[in-house]
Amino acid sequence: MILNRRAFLKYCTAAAAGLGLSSQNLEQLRAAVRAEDSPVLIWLHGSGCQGDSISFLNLFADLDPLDGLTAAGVLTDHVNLAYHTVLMASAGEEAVTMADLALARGGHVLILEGGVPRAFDGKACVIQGHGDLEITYGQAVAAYGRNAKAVISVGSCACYGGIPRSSQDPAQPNGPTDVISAKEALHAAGVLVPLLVNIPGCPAHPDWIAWAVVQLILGNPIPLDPYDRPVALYGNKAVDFHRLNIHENCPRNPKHAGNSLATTFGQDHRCLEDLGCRGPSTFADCPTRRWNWGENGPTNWCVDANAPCLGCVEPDFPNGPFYS
Amino acid sequence: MRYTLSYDPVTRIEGHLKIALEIDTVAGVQQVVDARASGELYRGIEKVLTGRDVRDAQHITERICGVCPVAHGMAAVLAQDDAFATTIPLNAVLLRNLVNGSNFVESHVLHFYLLTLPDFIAGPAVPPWQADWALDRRFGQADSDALLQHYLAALTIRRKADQLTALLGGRAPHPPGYIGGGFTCTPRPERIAQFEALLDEILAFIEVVYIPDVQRLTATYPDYLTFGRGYGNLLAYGGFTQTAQGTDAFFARGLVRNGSDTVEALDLGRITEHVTFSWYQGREAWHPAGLDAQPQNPKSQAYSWLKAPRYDGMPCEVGPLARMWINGDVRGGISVMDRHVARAQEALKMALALRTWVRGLDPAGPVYAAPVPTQSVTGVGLTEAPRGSLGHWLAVGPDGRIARYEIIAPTTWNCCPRDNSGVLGPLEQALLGTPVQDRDRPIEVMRVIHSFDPCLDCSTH
Repeated sequence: MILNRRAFLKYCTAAAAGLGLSSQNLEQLRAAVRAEDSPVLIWLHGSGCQGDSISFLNLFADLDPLDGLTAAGVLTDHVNLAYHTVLMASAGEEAVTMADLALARGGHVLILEGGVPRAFDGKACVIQGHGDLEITYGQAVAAYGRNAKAVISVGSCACYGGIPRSSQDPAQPNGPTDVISAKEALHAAGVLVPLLVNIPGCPAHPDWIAWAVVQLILGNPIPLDPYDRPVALYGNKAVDFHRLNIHENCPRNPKHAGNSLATTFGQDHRCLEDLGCRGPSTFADCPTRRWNWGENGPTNWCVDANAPCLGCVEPDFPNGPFYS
Repeated sequence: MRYTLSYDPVTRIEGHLKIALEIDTVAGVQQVVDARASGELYRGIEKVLTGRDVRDAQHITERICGVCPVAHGMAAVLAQDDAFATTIPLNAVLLRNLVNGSNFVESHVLHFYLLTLPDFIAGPAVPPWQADWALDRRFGQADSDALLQHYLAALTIRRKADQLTALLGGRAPHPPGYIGGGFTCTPRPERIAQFEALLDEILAFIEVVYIPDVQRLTATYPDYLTFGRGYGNLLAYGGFTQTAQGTDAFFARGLVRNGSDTVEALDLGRITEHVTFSWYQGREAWHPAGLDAQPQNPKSQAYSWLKAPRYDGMPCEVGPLARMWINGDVRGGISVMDRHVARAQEALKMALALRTWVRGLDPAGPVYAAPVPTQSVTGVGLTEAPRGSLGHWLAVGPDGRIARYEIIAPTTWNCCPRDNSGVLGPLEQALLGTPVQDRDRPIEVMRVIHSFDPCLDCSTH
């Protein structure tokens, strides 16, 4: 987990190439997180599973947290995470106060995880209460979005509605699973944020989330594709179909000599296209970055486990059936 | 003086939970005299599944929960194997166990350090650990410092446990390796070697750090062995079979009434779900195989998106304590600290089993036996998740697609609202009598809640 400043910087240094950082960027980053007004993050969770929070906890830094440091020393320099309900110590009104103090300061980065239900007047997701007053996730997105310097939607539910939106019956648009994306919710509430970045994935890769936070701290421009995804992470198929297309960049692609097509499950090294793999229509760096980094590098990724890509970063996820 | 208070959000859990309490002074002690637990998220995962290809179920249901996704993948493929009468290879049995078991270890370490410990020690002196409630702190400085170091070490250990899940499951969270008929990933020798090396580190942490820390906590807060009990009704579906024939379950199935030493056989036909106090239409009770609940909000009397599961009409606790009790591994008491002790002991038991299972893999053996899909059949997938017993009830329609799907998750049992007779759910009951020193910051209440390790996104799904 990269919450403390030292670990965060060390992570960025170690991962500089993967994150697209120059040595000049790293110097700027050091200055930025040292500043008094280092960015405040407010992380809200709505209609989702918190898989993106867990994925972010898997962010690997080449750092032993016990390495000659006192605990207090490790965590006094930090990227300021004001509100995250899975981690924070306080609860109830006091927890809400933490977020509200950050909101009052303004200029925070709002991280949104989970879709925004409209069903039941938004009461399909209530995230805070003040006595009898219930704050729906939709209301919170609008309230905490108002003074935000940027919004990062993490995971496919926040970006596009994702899993909870996928049962919407076109004949019943106001049904019990009526869920919209964070961007749509902000727009519906009339909240204009200077910048909104989608980091889809189910879950989002921890490096992708870290990349977005780093770029915001640096104040770098973040070119986006038509679905508000950073071109650097997800390509832009309208401009360059080959770049970051999972099938084109997959080591199992049949264009490489010796590769054949899998005919059933459990066959190593074979292309999974006939088993429903969404690699040909999915754009991300999974084949090269891979997943669950540790001391010896990446651990695995879906295709190397002979599991077809589900296309989890694409706006139409989880469009099925997955295996055909 | 009687007070009505509510706390929302309850933090350091998974998902959205509100607790409403009546607090009064009884026999000179201010304490909880009534409790309502409200699950505040409805997604309608069962509706998402209806009409989909049966083989999509494990991927959709894993997304119920980012903390314990794997058990849903397991339950979904068990339901498919049951519906299509598929016998899977031994390798697949072990791979499924290894990936789900790795998630147990990850989840238990995460729960004790990240979700529980901040109720007892000061976290780092920065947000989101500050400001905290700082009440009833009994550890001296040296112990507090050591525990905080272990909190930080636990971040690394749980990340490594997720690497175990990814090594054989493809990635974590949401590993894609589960499939009806077996598993997709093969047990290549280099993967087995990596798995064993990571597991050795995790096992050492559990033995040398986690279990002693739980003992230290119990010794310092012995009063927490005396409350938070609840009904004492314990239930486990059991699971983690260890043969291709689906026998030799690692966890036994059974039921215990009111903390008895007698374990009864479980009759799955006696499970019902009540919705009088839940935001679903009707005021009836159904068996999960016949339930197609329609959400309704507002609804008079209702206060939660969880349904209220009952066995033989009784509210039951599920989770590590129930499993370990029914298995005969732990027979102490039932309390806040007993739950933590059982969870830590189970982490060790599971980590040792992982070593046995990974050594049982055959790198040259098959991992998949193609199912023969059938129309108009039903299947049940029962297993154990880190937080307790999990059931998926599947009905395949005449078109071969999912016609109906019903899920009862562990936290649906533990954190449910009142049933049709007005009987409180297990967490609600366990909160009664909990002393409360400071009504604005009821740390004792949070400690009781956290002992159940609630997973609200699972419970409402």
